This record gives sequence, structure tokens and C-alpha cells, in this order.
Amino acid sequence: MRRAWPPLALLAAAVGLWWLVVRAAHVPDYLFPAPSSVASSLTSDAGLLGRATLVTVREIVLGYLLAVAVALVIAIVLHFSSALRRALLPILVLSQTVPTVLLAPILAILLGYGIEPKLIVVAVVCFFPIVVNTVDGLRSADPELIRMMRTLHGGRLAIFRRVELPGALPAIFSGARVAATYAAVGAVFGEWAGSSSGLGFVILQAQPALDTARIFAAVLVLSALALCLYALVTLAERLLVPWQPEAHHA
Amino acid sequence: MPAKGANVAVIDESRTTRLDGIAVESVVRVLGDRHVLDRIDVHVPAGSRVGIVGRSGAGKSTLLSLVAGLDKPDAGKITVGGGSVASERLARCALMPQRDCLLPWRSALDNAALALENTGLPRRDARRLAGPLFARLGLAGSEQLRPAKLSGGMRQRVAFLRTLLADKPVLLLDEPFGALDAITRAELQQWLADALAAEPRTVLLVTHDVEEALLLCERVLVLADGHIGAELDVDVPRGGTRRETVTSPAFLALRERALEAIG
Repeated sequence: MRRAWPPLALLAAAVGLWWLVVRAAHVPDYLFPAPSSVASSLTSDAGLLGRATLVTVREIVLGYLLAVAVALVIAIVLHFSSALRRALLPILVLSQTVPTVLLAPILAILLGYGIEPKLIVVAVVCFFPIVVNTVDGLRSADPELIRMMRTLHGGRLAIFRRVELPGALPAIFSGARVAATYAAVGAVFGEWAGSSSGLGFVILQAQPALDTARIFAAVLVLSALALCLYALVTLAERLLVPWQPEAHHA
Repeated sequence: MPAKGANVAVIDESRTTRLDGIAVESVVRVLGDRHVLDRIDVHVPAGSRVGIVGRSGAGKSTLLSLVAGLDKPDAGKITVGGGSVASERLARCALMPQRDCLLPWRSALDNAALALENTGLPRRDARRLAGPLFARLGLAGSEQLRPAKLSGGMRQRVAFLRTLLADKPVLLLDEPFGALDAITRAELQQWLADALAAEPRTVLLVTHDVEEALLLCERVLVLADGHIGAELDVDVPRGGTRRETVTSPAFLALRERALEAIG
């Protein structure tokens, strides 16, 4: 908990400064709302934001799980086939240069206004860091451990299960943590491309109404969701990688 | 690879692991443009213990990798128990590497039972077979500890137990105690001598420590510049304490000859 104090103090100072500037300069709420206006929007729009949050949480969680599952399967396949790795990995890198903002409307046209296109956008955004880290993690197994396994009846599958996969877990989780911070943004892109609910939709609707305080409130909730997902992934890492000396992650 | 539930009753009078001999004939291994091994001959009769000493980089570990079937010679022939193909050697040899190579995510017990699980035995059965040996190797109470919580000497013992439980006729030991302090090393040398007396195996031991090789082996070869520089039969009285052995004139004479050959 002690590590949480410095960033919290900095954040509080920034919010205080924001409040002072907005009040001192008499900035109107529709241009840049004061923290108090955002807070009152959070309470007065609680029902609306709550319903939207439920929709977006579903998209984030399901899309993220889809990304993890697909990324792990593809990474393991690439690990076992060097030919496929040489052929597919550059294409995966190339695919990352296609902006997701452009992908989202195409998916909405193809798949409609349901949850599916949002899940795919979230998964596409989250998938890449997990695949790359997993492939790297599996390949960086200590060659001496593999030699040891080979002289102790260890076949290819045993080496994978007992040496490569557990050894790759820290790398897999660092990819999964990076991906967790992308998931909320992915859900918003998906909703902007076509939806009638969710926090992205709330933001889209508040824009022409100049209800900037509500936009800020929705963004605040989105950040909190991303943070929660990050914390959950970190917790899962603590449980699944207990041999890892604690230290490196914030 | 032995069948499921093959004989794994290690350190047990009733065990039936056959003993295989090792024959290395005119073996050459070139790494880069250096002849690391240049027409080497090594014979280890079934059930005997042979030590190879030499400076760091003399090619000792290269020789062990070749015998183990992890690597192929550029010329010459290596036979283990009648099999000369790399996969046949791999099936008959268990290599204990210089570093303990314990898996950090496994408990001491599960590390020791690793080879048993690799043969397809369920983890529960593998643990049941490895468990009773912990007390006999002075490891009682540390079964559930992860390697990070074990001392260097304990880690080495777990690594040796893991090698033994692979239940292979040939043990290849690569500087098994190289990473330990002098006192722990002396303790573990005695411990290994006792363990091998109770559990005879064909052993090829590689070390830079001449005293260790003379204490543990019946025959010691000196490897220098890719050649066997000297072959010493270790016929010293072994009845007494370690101190009596290492200070006996016969032991000292052998030690002197080995050090001279190392150069």
C-alpha cells in the first residue's frame, strides 16, 4: 500500500491545481468542467453511467478473455512450428499497423450493432502484446534446463509442459498486463463505430449536448475499469507465479 | 524410455537396473577451428567409476555431452551399453549438470520426481516413490520447499536424487560440487561415495578437483590439450577417514602425478 501514496499525492495535487485554474479563470463547464462538476455528474448521472458501465464491462472482460485465449493458442502453435513462426509473425506485426479506429466501423458493417464487433475490436487491440511476449517467453527457456530434461526421459511435450511453459509465465503476464490497459480503449472504439449503449455511447451522446462534465465522468469510470482489470491480472500473476521474487511490477 | 511403472525402486537391494559400460574410441570433436577432443579413448567398465580431470576448457563437459547423446562426435565412435546411436546413448545416460538446474517453480520433492513424471507416471505416484528417499539423503523436512529456499548443498543433493531417480544405468556427473564451498563439498563427496556404494552405477565424473576424482573414482584420466595426458589407477586404502586417505603416501603420489599431467 505504501507504494500507492506517491502517485495518489501527485494526482491529488493535479486535481487541486485543475480546480484552482478553472475557478480562477472562470472557465465555463462546457469547455472544461471543474472537478466538482465532474463529481456531481457522477452522482446525478449514476443510473445512466451504471447501466452503461455494465455493458462496457461485459465487452472489456469477454473481449480480453478472447484475446488471451486466441493469443496463447497462436503463440503455442508458433512456438512448435518454426516455419509458421517465420511466415506468420511478420504478418502479425504488419497487422498492427492497421489503425483499429478504421477496423471498428468495418466490423460494425459486417457484424451489426451487437456485442460481437466490440469483442473483436477489444481482442484485436489486446491480442498483440500477449502473442509477442508469449512467443518470446517460450523461446527464452534456459537451454541447460532443456538438456537436463532430455537426459531425464523428457520428450518434446514434457519439456514444453514442465520447463518452457512455466518459465514463460512471467513474460506472458507482462504482455497480459500491457494488454489490460488497452482493453477499455478498444471497447470505446467498438462502441463509437456503432452502438446504442455503453460508456463510449454515453460519451458520443454527451458531445453534441456540450455536457462535458458527463464526458469526463465517463472517462473517469473507463480509467477505473482499466485499472481494475490491470489489478486483477496482477493478482492472477501473484497466484500463478508464486516463485517469482516480487519487485518489478508497480 | 522405460514403460510406465518400470522398476524405479532406487536405493533398494531388489532393484534390477542393468549396468552398462562406456566405450569412447578415437573421438574427435571440433568446435570452431579448435580440436577440443583429438582422438580420445575412454573406457568405463560396467559398474565402475572413472574420473576425468583437467583445466577449465580442457573439453571435459564436451566429452560428457557426447557420451550423453546430447551431441555428436566429428569422428570416432561412442558406445554405451552396446548402443552407439545418439538416441540410444540418451536413453541410457542420466547427466547431472554443473549447475543444479532445479526448476524454480517446483518443490524439492517435485524436482526430485521430475524424471519419474517424464516417464508418464502420475505426479502422485512419482511423489510417493521419491518421498522416502529424502530422509535417506538427509533432506527430510525440505520436501515442500522451493529451490530458492534451499542451501547450495541441499540443492545439489536434490539434483543428484533427481538424476538417480531417472533410473538409468550410467551416471554422468559434471562438476557436481563445483559451486559449493570447501566444507560442504567435502561433506557431499563423502555422501556421494556412500550413496554410490549403496547404489552401484557406472559413473563418469568430470571435475577440475583432482582430490575429488581420486576420492570417488577407481580410475582417473587427465585430459589436457584434447588428449588423455595420463591414466591413473587409484589403488589406495579407503577404509579409514577422509583425512587418512588423502594424506596417505599412495594418494599423495597419485595426486602429484595427476597435477603434473594437467600442467
